[in-house]
Parts: sequence; C-alpha cells; structure tokens
Amino acid sequence: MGQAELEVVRFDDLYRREVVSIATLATALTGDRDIGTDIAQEALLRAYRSWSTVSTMDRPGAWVRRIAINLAADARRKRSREAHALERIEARPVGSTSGSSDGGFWREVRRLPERQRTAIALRYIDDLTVDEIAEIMDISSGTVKATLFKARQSLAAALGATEVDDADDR
Amino acid sequence: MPTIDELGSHAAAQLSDQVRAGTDVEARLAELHASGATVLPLRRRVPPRVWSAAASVAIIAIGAIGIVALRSGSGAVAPTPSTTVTPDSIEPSPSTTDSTEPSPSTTDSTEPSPSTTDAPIEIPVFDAAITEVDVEPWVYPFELDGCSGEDYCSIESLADGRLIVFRPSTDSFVVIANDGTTQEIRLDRPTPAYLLAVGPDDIVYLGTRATSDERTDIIAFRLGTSVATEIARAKAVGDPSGDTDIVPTTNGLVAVGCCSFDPIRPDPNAEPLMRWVNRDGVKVTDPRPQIRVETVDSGEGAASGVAFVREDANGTVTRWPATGGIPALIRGMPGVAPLDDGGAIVVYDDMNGASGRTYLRLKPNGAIERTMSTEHYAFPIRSGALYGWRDGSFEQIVLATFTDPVDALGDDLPTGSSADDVIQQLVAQLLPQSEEQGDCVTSVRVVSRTGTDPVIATIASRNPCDDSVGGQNLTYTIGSDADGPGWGVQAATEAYLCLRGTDGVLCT
Repeated sequence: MGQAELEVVRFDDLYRREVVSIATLATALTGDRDIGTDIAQEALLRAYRSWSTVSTMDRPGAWVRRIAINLAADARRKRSREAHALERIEARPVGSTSGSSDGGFWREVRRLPERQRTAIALRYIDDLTVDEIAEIMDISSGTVKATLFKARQSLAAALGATEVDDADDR
Repeated sequence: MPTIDELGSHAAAQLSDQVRAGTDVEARLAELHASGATVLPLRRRVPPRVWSAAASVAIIAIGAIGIVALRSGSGAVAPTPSTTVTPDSIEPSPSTTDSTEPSPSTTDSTEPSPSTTDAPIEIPVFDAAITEVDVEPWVYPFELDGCSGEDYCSIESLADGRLIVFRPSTDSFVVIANDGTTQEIRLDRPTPAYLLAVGPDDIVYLGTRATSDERTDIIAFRLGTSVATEIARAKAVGDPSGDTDIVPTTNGLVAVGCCSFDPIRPDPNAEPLMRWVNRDGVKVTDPRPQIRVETVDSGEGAASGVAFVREDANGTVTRWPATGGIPALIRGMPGVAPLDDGGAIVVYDDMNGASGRTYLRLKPNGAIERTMSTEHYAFPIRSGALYGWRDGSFEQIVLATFTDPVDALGDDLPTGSSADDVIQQLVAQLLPQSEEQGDCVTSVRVVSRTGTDPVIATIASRNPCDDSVGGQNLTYTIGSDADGPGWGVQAATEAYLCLRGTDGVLCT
C-alpha cells in the first residue's frame, strides 16, 4: 500500500470513529439533526483536505470538533442561514420536550450563552475532561470550570435539577 | 430529583442514538470521497493573528539583532487598483471549476518563500501584498430586549446611519439612534422573517421563514412612525435550504449559491429575486456603490485568486486583485460593504481551516489590510460598520487601520556592505525606541523582504502601550551603488497603525 493510500485509510478510520459524535455535538448546538450532520461532514471534509497537517496532530478529533463548533456558531450567526436554521428547528425539533424524554435538556442548553453551550455539549456528549474542553475551545482550564459551573446553575434552575459539585469535574 | 450530570448524560446518550440511527456512516464516507476531494498537502500557515504569536518572537528579534528574516524575491507587489470610467470594460473571468475543491494555491499562497541564505527564519514574514493588522478589533457590545437566546435579531442600517434591527419576538423593527434612543415600528402584518436588506428610500426587505421546504417570500416594508407597511412582495423566490445568500445589487436582491463558486458574485446581470421599490412601490435602482467578487483564472482551468471590485454609480470601477494570503476560492458571498472613502470592507470565513473570520479593508490607494479573529464573528452592514452576535448581545467591531504611507527618507540613514547589513542597522536604529512597560512589550521586526536590487524591506514596530499610535510600518528601498559605499537607502515610507486613543478617535 502506498503512502497516499495509507493516508486515506487513516482518514477513514478517523471518520468512522468520530462522525457520529461530531454530528451529535453539532446537532446539540444547532438544534437540527440535518444541519448537525452536514456540519460534521463539512468539518471532516476540511480535515481530509488538510490531512497532511491534521494527521500529524496529537488529537485530530479535537481539531475537527473545533471546526464543527465554529461552523455551528456561524450557522447561527450568519443572518440568512440563521433564519433558515431557526425555521428548520421549528419544523423538526430535535432534543426538545416534544416526543422526547430528555426533559428539554438541549433546548435549555441552546438558550445558554455560546461559550456555556459549547462547554456543556462537549462535556456531556464527548465526556471530555476540563483540559480537553479547554484545548478545543482555546480557553484556560479555569475558565472552562467557571463556565461549566455557571451553565449548570442556569440549567438546574431551568430544569428543576440538582446542581453537582464542580469539584467533580476532571 | 436528578442531578444536572444525570440529565446531561442521559440527554447526550439519547441524542447520540438518534443521530447514529439517522446516519449511514459508510454512505456518508463514500459521499465525501466522491465529492472529488483529494488529500492536499497543507503547508505551514502564516499565523493568523500575529501579535500574540509574534510577541515572544519579537523579543527574540530584539535580543538578536543579527537574525533577520530573509525572503528571496517572491515578486510580490502591492496591488494597484485600476480605475476606469467604462464599467463595460470589465471582462468577466471565465468559469474556473465546477468542483467545490479549492485549488492547492489556497494553502500554498501563505507559505513564505524559502530563504536564500543560511540565516534562520525567526521572524514571521508576510506577503507584501497584504498588510496584517495584528491587533485585536475593539468590541462594543450592546443588548436589546427580546433578542437573546434563540430570539435571533438581525441588523442593518438606514440611509442616515441609524441602526435598524428586526426583532422576531415582537414582530417589529427597532430603530436605534446614535444617542442610543430606540423607536419601535411594528409590522402591519406579523410575519416570521429576518432582515435581508435596506434598499433605496429606506425600504426594508424581509425574507420569510419557511415552515417546510417550500420557497420563501421577500417582502418590502415602508417604515412609518410606529407601523411598517407591506408595499410589495415577491412570492416563493427564496431557497429554503439555507445554502443560498440573498445579496443586494443595483437592481435588487439576487441569489448567490454557496457552492458553485460562480466566477462573478453577485452577477450584475442576474435577474433579481426582487427588484428595489420606492416608498410608492415603484421599481427603482440603487445608486449606491456595489461590491462584487471575481475569481481570477490561472489559465489552466483553475482559480488562481480573487479580485474584489467596487463599481460606483458614476461608472468608476476600482479593482483590488488579491493575491498571497487570500483564498483562491471563497464560499458563497462574502460580507461586503462600500466605505465612504472609496474603499470597502470584505468579510469571509476560511474555507479550509479553523482560523475563524477574516476581515479585509480595501483601501482607496490599493492596499489591503487584513485582520483575522477567531473570537469575533462580525458582518458588515450597508453603512460599512461591522456587527456580530455573541452570547445574546450584538457586538460592534472596530478594526484598526494604517494611515496612508508618507515619505520617511531622513538624513541619518545607514549604508552597508549588503542590503541585509543595511536592514540590520535600520532595525538597530529603531531598537532604542523599544522598551518594556509592564505587560506591554514594544517590538521591532522585519515583516517582509523582496527583490534583489533594489531590495524592498518592511520593518514593523508595535507599541501596544501607546493609546493612539499602535506602531508603524517602515518600508525601505535599498539599492547598491557601485560608485558609493555599497548599499544604501534610496527611498523610505512610513505608515502608522491607528489605535482608538483615549478620546475614542482613530488617528488619521
């Protein structure tokens, strides 16, 4: 097998390992499964195009997640796409109380400020440590802890749940 | 009562199951391979935001004067806007490619040329065509009731510069005056929508939100004191997929697809989805300057770069060919806005990387300044101001800018045995002005060196503690003189990097 073929195989491994997780992350952030899946595909496509660099990283998955988070944020921000995203959210709710047993968790997450929303999604969907979240979000571990603390406070108040001690954060 | 961790873990597992059930991984992977993508070599990128990355490097440069970044003749030259009074003379660039695949030059263009000497490259070197504005933009956040969370509000500007926000939660416009006072104007027919544009005569155009996959409408509203009245509607013209930008042109609002990489965007001859109308509903054209993006054909069927083009109503066409450091392909329609000074603002996202958003200031003298940020996602509105949306607040972004270069050929200019000898002496001359003040480190570094004889070198100093002038770029033309002492400075210019200043005024 030549080097180029080997690189394709290595990329395919990454794709199979990460695509569902990244699509779930993007779905949680945007509230729409179709958009989330498209974002995951685009983020992985960018990794593929830049594979000679991305493949040398310690955690290529972290790079792809960062791309996906940026794309999800941009989908919300860019005016026309935002409107379309919202209309699709309204048309096909995902992760809401309607027909779901998640108690509206993701709907409340999407009402959080952007940084809190992202940290919570990475924490629960990918079960990442504080340091791993910090790396992806390009902020300090202390800021991640503070962000998670605030987010949990807001979610607990909205969902009638018990907060957890932030000392539990790894 | 469950804990948040229990709720979160349960919700994550449930959502993951839903996504997994709806994702055919192998089919999507095959789709990716079939998209024509190939594994491209990605060379080392120039750091997107130089200051933070370069601060430590700059200290190295100060301590080791002899280390000077060298760059062999890249042939890069400052872009020169061509001005003509015959807009018809613009030749549309031929179609470049049907593929969404960026050409390799997208990544190659930011790669510094190899050095011709053994000197290590310790200092970032930029393409001479683009000037990096290596300071963070200034941010002025403000909140508006009913615009938080998913109650997304969209923003534009009226002809007199006041901001106008469409607030879906109240089916109304909010006009914000310069003094911060607001005026609410309700839609006469409440409609789930978002703000597309403000056209001639301050007619405001909304795009409706689709409730399914049907095409959407564009509606024109005339603003009154307290009520906005619908005066025209284009039915079922909008693409509901979200992949199409709706963009203002002289004649009206046109569609620009995200992924076909049309060679001219927007196409000035495109049939508008909706034509502009005046307050009486009569079709009109927009006399304001228009900005478009054109891809430049390499001659081998691939895009080699883009040109940004401004066309004014008097027929003046100004073109900024953008080379090194600008992607050859830009997805969809970048955010554009003409500036009163004859230039423009262009905003786009890096299609291939995580470097965030790129802000270009196209200056009337042909220069292009670039600011990059992963933190701020602002979009230009028609007035040329930049607004973003973050954590439930609007952000107004203000970019720093360089003054136009002025002559800086003084009396105390060094000579030397080589161009690099002269460059090193010039750096040394600037060093006494460098000092450390608390967290502020003033730096001097060589940011570009092109040509052989003469050599064009730009030396940058940055003064983050100065509240008005953040630094300066000195550009020297250094040539040999067979009858003289060797190499000397033949010409010099300097441009100041303007900061906000304590009085909030940019230096001019």
